[in-house]
Amino acid sequence: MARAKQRAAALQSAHGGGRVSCVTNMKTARRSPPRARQPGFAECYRNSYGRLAAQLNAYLGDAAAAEDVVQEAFLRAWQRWKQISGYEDPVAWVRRVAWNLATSRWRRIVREARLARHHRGVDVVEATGPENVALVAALRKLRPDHRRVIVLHYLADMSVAAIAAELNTPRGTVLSWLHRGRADLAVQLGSPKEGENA
Amino acid sequence: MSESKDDEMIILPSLMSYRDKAFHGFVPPPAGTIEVKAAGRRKRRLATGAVASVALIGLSAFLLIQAAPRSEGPPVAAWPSPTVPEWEARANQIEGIVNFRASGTQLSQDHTWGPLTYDQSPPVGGKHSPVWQQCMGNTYDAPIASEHAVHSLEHGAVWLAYRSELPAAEVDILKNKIKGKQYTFMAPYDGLETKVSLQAWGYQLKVDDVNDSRIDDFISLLAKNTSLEPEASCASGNTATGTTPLTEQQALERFRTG
Repeated sequence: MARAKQRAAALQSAHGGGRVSCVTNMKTARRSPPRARQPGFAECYRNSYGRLAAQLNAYLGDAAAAEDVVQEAFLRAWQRWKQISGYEDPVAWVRRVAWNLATSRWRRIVREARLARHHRGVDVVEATGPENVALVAALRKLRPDHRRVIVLHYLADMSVAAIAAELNTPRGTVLSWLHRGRADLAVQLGSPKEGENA
Repeated sequence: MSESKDDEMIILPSLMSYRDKAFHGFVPPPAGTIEVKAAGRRKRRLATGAVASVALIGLSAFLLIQAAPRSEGPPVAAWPSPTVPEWEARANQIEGIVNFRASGTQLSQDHTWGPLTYDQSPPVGGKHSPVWQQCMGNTYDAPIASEHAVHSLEHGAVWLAYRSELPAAEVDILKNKIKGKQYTFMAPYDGLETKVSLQAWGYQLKVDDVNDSRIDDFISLLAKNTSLEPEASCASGNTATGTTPLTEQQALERFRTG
């Protein structure tokens, strides 16, 4: 386990983290003239939109729905940016709102209605490129809580402790979800397609 | 727990590649679309509020319209307009700078292992190794692999390449400009036509005098600012010299212990 962690850490340092933050940008933004009433928002939006949308896409398996919730979250952030820009990590707020939107019951109903109308899987190809389709398809087959911790841990680079705090779930539960999610995902990615067209 | 390790061996490459690449596919819609949405929503809210209030008491509609703008946050017009950043405007004024971004040169951001060839010498961007060259003001004493250096450019680093035969006294002058400065690194480069060539992603400046003040201008204006991945780091990465890039196996071994 320890060695696996080391390898994960090694890969992360070799490839660059998936974490996004606006803190550095905020510092420079504060020096800009007072005329700019939304300091840092534009940078924050530009810098973190793609990563957040990719993370939500991995969770939802639907690129359009992912972009939808991320845009909605940014819209809400913009409306109270004065307050949010003072937070240590504004992106964390946006991410939490986006995830809440993604998991809310109403959204799920709307999404399922749309998915029923359209052919599943089309959206995935468009936004993220063919090399990622297999991963998103595999993630779709996990249980939602497993999928969520896998995405937060490996794609959003959140620590187990941070995930436990954000989901208001005991650390042991998060670890067990991660463990079982990893195992299921390995099975999905390791085995060739079983007559699936996803 | 060895099964966990095996699981990670299977799933990590896909997850890491997704994390590093998938977000390029999601382009934020122009700020204006959110602006329009916000305006539309405000109008809609006002309208719904007014209808409901009229049904109750006409007066409350009036009060709502009065109160609404204050409770709705800053006005729509506050959205910052896109302008050319100051660093970019000033960088373009450096005499002799070549701006490959402006000329529309295609510079791929793809990752790939193994040796690559580049259209520019030294390269200013394009496909590169998944591992970057450490760019925390490192002063490498021997030529380095362009495949790693280009990845550092993508992270916003300025790469100072100098002619391999440069006298030590002149190299020291250059070292003073780089040493300890984050988002910069320097290394000798074989076959350079000028004494010094500076690279940032999409930018290049060749100068023939180590005391030329344009070197300092290039570093101070372009380091970090040229980053395509604004949160990307210059720490860790490859610190070895040699012009052959690391193989995937070498990279995994090196970073596992380091």
